[in-house]
Amino acid sequence: MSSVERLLADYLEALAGGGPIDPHDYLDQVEGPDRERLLALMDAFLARAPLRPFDAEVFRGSSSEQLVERIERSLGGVSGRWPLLLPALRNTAKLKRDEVVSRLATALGLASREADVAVAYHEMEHGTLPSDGVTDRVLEALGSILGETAQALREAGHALTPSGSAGSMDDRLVFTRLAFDSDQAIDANVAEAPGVASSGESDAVDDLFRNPPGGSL
Amino acid sequence: MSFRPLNDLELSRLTAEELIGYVAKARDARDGVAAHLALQVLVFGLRPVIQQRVRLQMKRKESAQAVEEVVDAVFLSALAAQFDGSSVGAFRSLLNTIIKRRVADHYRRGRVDEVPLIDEHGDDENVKTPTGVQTPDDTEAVHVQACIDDVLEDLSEPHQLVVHLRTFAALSSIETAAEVKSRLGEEMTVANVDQITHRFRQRLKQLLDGETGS
Repeated sequence: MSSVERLLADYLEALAGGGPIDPHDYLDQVEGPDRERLLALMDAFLARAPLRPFDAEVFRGSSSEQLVERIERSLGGVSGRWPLLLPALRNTAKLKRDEVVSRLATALGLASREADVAVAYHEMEHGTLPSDGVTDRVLEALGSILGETAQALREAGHALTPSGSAGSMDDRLVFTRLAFDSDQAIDANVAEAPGVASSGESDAVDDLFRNPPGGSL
Repeated sequence: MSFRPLNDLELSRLTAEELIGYVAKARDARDGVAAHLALQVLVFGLRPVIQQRVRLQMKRKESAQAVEEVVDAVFLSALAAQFDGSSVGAFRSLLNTIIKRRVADHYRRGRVDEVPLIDEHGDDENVKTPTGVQTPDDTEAVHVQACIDDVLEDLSEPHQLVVHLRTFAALSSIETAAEVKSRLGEEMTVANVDQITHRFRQRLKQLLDGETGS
């Protein structure tokens, strides 16, 4: 048995045993063409592995559950991949949402309207804010805070609209209903936060976050 | 034909492609609960494999958080491409492409110049790689995948199932024999399973090494 075959067998056996596996522990034992061959074999075998059986107890509260929620917000929302991307960028930057909101409000000259900015940013992360209405100025400021370009944020915000004969909005609503059922409590808390301005006083925030398509303040 | 919702046990028996097809049917039937459960089963089931495949493509020193961010991006890209109709080709082929591109995006993110994100089209040969971002050479990966496909194609259905269960699903020989009997009604001994698996590996090695003997 060649070293590649042995390492592949060892890797597959370790995988079957469960527990965290670092594939590099096996890859680093060979070099050059052997390494390429082993990597390709490991990936090809993984590609054909069956799904892990579903365990509702393990799933509950896991990162997989959080991922499903973010996927549904993205697929069912109007903010493209922001529900997935923005929390990930925040984690990388090691910033809590409150900190991002505070910095964003200051950067936009809306420090006195931080609560309204919080509502808008919350909607971005939850897929309920139409991305077309968010101005370049917001994305530039947010990009600076989160370490991403405004262009990348704009691209990620394009709505993921299902196409085809089933129609777009109705298809999205199937994902939307479930993703937002669990968010209603969160939305209520945000709406009741002190300092939330009435709709009549939110023009400055609306101009930046809910601008009609084509505007870019 | 009316849509029949499946429970989590029934969903767990589906492949990733079948689950995605089921989510689409649930969506067409406006059954959000069924679509939600199927997505849960799909993400939970596929996540360990995607994590390993992403780690294979990333540098060893990458943090667990960085790996998870790429894993999340892979899921969203793959599912969005499937549900918005932009994807052509099999889900497995799509995943191959998306994993490599999301890893490339991760390493691109540290660059100053702005490079647009890539739309996912499974067979779109016109999609360009971001300039200056090195993606792994696919030659060996394509060769290996093709050889595995070729060997499997030459096998009978029971033998394909043996290889799938014993080699890819890592069941024991005893479990494999029992599963083959359960699914296909075909009697198989442990010795049969071991022989079929051994021949598969031998034949695969021959093809990988460029040998043409049977």
